[in-house]
Amino acid sequence: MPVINVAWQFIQDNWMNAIMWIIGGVLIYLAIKKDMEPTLLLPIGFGAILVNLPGSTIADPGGIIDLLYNAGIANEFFPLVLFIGIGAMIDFGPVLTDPKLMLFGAAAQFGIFFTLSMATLCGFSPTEAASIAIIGAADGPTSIVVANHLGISANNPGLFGAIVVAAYSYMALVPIVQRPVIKLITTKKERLIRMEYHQKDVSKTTRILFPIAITAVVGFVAPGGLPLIGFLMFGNLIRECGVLNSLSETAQKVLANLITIFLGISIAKTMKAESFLQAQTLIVLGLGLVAFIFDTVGGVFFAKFINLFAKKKVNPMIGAAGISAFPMSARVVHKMGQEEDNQNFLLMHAIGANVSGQIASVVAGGLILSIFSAFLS
Amino acid sequence: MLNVSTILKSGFFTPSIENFGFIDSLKVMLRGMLSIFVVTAVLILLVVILNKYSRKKKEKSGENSK
Repeated sequence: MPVINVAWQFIQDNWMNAIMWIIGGVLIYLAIKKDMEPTLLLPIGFGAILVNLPGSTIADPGGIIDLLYNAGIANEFFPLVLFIGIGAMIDFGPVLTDPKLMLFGAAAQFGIFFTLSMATLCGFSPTEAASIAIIGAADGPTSIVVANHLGISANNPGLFGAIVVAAYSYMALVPIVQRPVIKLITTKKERLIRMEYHQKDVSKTTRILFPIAITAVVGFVAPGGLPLIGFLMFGNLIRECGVLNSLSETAQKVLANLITIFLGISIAKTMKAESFLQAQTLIVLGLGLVAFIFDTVGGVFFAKFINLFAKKKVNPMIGAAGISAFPMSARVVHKMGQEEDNQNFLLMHAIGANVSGQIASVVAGGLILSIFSAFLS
Repeated sequence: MLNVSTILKSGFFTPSIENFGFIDSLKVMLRGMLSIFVVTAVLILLVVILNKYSRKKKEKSGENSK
């Protein structure tokens, strides 16, 4: 019967699109019902449905999503400008009070490099492996900038889409991913270690010089990361200088929200069914999980290592807070500490480690760019 | 005595571009983690110096006001 033939033909032509509608729907559900990174997962999910509707040309050359993508993703404009807003939101006070916490931020980037090795073993090319590994930075803009810069968005848009979805999804899943890993690799005695917090004033001079100093140091060591660290610290300088309050507020709210809207919807260009639905997407999702797990492992084991020598013991869970997923990771660690001992207040230490993870993840991104840009030629 | 600069100059940490493999990824891991920790150590030192400088300045202005 002609109707059945037409229906069967429709199914054959669009079954992959239908899977993308489901994926888009799942992302929207997670964003709204579970409150998982709604600022990005909702537009990404909706965009995935938009670009996969039959006959949709919205992501084709000349379509609005294609225009937005070229205007802001292909040239890294959106993620870098978003970093200004993120920098303006960050208070480095807890880190400046106890700068040793920065070591945990550094250690918690281990997952990036471990995943690089695993992705290489899985057969990905060096630039692909590096782009997948940067999911472990637990930072959306860093993942987008690194993967774009290494040519993944142009040469393998499906992989790029998978990387972005993995990065933002796992950031939102930090409470679910980190808890069992922390419990597995720490003992109850270690989780009960109390850490006292002593409030210390941080001078305005220190707060102003800190972002400038970081930019200079990271710029020397990893020039490839200068756009990332520069824009992040520029945002922070606007916040801390004290004479640009209106700009700081604009950066934190209007600018960040505006760019997030455009960024989220334009990622949809990489979520066309034929490029997204490949075996590599599942592998990327798996490797993304590995990255987050080993970030946690790296931070916790570093804290255990410190405890071999330290007179004042560190609660190893603080190491897990060094992952850049702010502030979820800090909240997870604080909550786990409270569950073991409700008189143990780990929040400020965890926030210090969490915030320093933001710096370390950008440094890691810059290093990855510096090392792997050689593979582009 | 270990000569670090000799090791760095020998290209030990430089991954192979033509045949990037698992061993090269381990080199990148070593180089990356070392670099991150070195940068972090420098930043910690800077913050300690800044904090000390601010504290001394505060103490001086406190003494002057007496």
